Amino acid sequence: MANSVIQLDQLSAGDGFPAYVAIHSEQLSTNPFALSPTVMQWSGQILICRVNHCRQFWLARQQRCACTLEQLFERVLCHHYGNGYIAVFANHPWQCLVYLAYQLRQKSQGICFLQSRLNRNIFKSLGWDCWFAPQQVLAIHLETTGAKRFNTDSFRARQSQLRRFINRIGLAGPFALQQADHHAITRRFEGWLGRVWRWTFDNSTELHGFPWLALDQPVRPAVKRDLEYPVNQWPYIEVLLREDFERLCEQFNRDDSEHINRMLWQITLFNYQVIDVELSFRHPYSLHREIPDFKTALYQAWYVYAELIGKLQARDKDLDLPDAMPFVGWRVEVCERIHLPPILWDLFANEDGDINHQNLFDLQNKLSIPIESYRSQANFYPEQSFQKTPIGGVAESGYDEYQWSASSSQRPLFYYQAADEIEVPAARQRFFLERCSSQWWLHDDPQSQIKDYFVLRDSRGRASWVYRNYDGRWYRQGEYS
Amino acid sequence: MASIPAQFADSCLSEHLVSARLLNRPRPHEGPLLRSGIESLDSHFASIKPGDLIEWGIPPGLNGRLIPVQFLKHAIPTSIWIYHHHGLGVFASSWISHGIDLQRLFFIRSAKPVRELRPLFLEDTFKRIIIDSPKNFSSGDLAFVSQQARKHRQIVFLIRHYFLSQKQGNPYASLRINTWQSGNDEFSLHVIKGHTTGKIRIPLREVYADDG
Repeated sequence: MANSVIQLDQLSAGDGFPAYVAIHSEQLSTNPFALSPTVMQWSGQILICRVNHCRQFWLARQQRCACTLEQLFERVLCHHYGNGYIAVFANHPWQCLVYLAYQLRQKSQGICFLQSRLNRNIFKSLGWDCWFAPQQVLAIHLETTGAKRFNTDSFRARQSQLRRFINRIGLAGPFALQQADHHAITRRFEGWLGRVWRWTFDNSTELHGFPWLALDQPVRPAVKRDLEYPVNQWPYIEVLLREDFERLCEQFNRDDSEHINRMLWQITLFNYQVIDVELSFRHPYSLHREIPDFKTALYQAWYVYAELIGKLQARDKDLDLPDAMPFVGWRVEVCERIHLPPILWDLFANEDGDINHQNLFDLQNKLSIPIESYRSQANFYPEQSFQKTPIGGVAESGYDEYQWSASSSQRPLFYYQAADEIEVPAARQRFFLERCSSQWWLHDDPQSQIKDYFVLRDSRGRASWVYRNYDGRWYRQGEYS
Repeated sequence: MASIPAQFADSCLSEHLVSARLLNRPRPHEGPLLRSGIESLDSHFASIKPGDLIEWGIPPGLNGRLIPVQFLKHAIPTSIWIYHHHGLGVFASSWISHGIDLQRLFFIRSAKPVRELRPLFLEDTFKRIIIDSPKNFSSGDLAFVSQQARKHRQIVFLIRHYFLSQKQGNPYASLRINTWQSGNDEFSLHVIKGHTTGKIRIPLREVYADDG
């Protein structure tokens, strides 16, 4: 079966959702915010998007489409940029840019994930030219932003010094000098080359001084309200906020494809203190679809309001105030939004049967607590036999999950995520269930991975799920509730 | 002026109730709403209709939750299990091994469900709502949940972490039942309130019959 063959470039070297993507395209997109609301214009033809801000959303879409991330992003990027784009996904924008420089030299097209083993290996073999190439634009950005202790002439001089050094000792590319950490490079070639060095090898998603210049959304819709009278009661605030959301909608030109990730609610208190609070949505939220009630946005505002009032009451308990410090005005601003044209929603609209995922997403946006969804994993080790997934993201498994989970039928429905050590139980109280061992071949002491599981009954007949580890110590891991 | 329908002419309250229930009688061609596949259990749930609240008494450690779980095995609509157990998380593969479709059953952790999850009860996204051992659940909360369930034609399971008794009743529940595993080979059920009351015993092998 073709699907069962793993492609070479899909062999994963590192797990996880990529944090950034650099997109090169000759064709200008009318919508740079197609993948994320956080975008930087690196150069005339290159955009960098921070995609992990919408990680949950894209993972849910991916699983619902039962496709790979590559196939999913390919659809979206083709829609916006046509076929002539190159997109490189990685954990740091610098790594995206270096690999993009290589792809441009190769005249490749399409999507690359630096997480894949093949791309990672190519990345490690890249020469200095790909590493130096993006530094030209970097120097311009650092200069225009007035980066601390950056001087273009000094930077160029250090670059030349580094070039002479690598020519002298004959190093093929940055990875040949990998053992030199960024502190060593900083000491010899100054701070900014040290930083670039760190960005090249660091696997964390932190920017570590990368000059991120967020591309402003063309219009950042905002409304301001100065109140006639101070208010602190939710029923009054709710009515006024609803009016403000209506005014916000008008600023979007009633465009239904605009979806909001985050809104800023800047509240001015009676003492003229300004407090910034955020209304954030787990799934991109369309304000227009909720005209005129705006239930979701108002629920989020209510959670924020309830928390804020609690804090204000605790802070101002010594003041002679009737209830809590009232509000005298506010400003609501849409700070992060994503543009998802209806055609893209239609692509993913393969609702299965009677489960309406959009309803689930809408409800999730109204709740302050996440809805949990799980799927099984092909693993016999108890804690690894399942995983949490985004809601709406559970697709059909590629294997018979009931066969895998059959080993769990004697295990409890709920378990302790942190097991407590218990005293050694009497032999008559316990009933042996199974012996499990995790991936012992990955550990120095394979025997330490062995656990013997038992049902333990106390004198009142209550049953617990316990295990004995290799040292003979006992732990309670669940309750047969 | 319209005349009062004949069935409401009598002023006796009990007859009003009977006639109101007759109006809302489940249609005979519809199958039972809750089906576990265990005959002795299903007979007690045959009269359950949309909007009903079922109260379960299941103390911890007695494995009694496996009985309500039986009603989530067969082609359930989108459902949610609201749980609150100190330090406990969902052991998902065990649920799957009992035949639960986790594409349709979702979980959410909340100790005060009505206060913290109000939008969930105000909408009909979930047709089965299981409220498992809530920390705070007043009679006002019970009235609200029951009213919303009737409005949205949902079925609500309210699981208590103690055994129920007739001394402290629940007017909102159409069925009240205690369940626990007794010994190594059977489950015991005690129906406190319902169209028939009394004790039932279910062999363990029937509960684990289709598992895995």
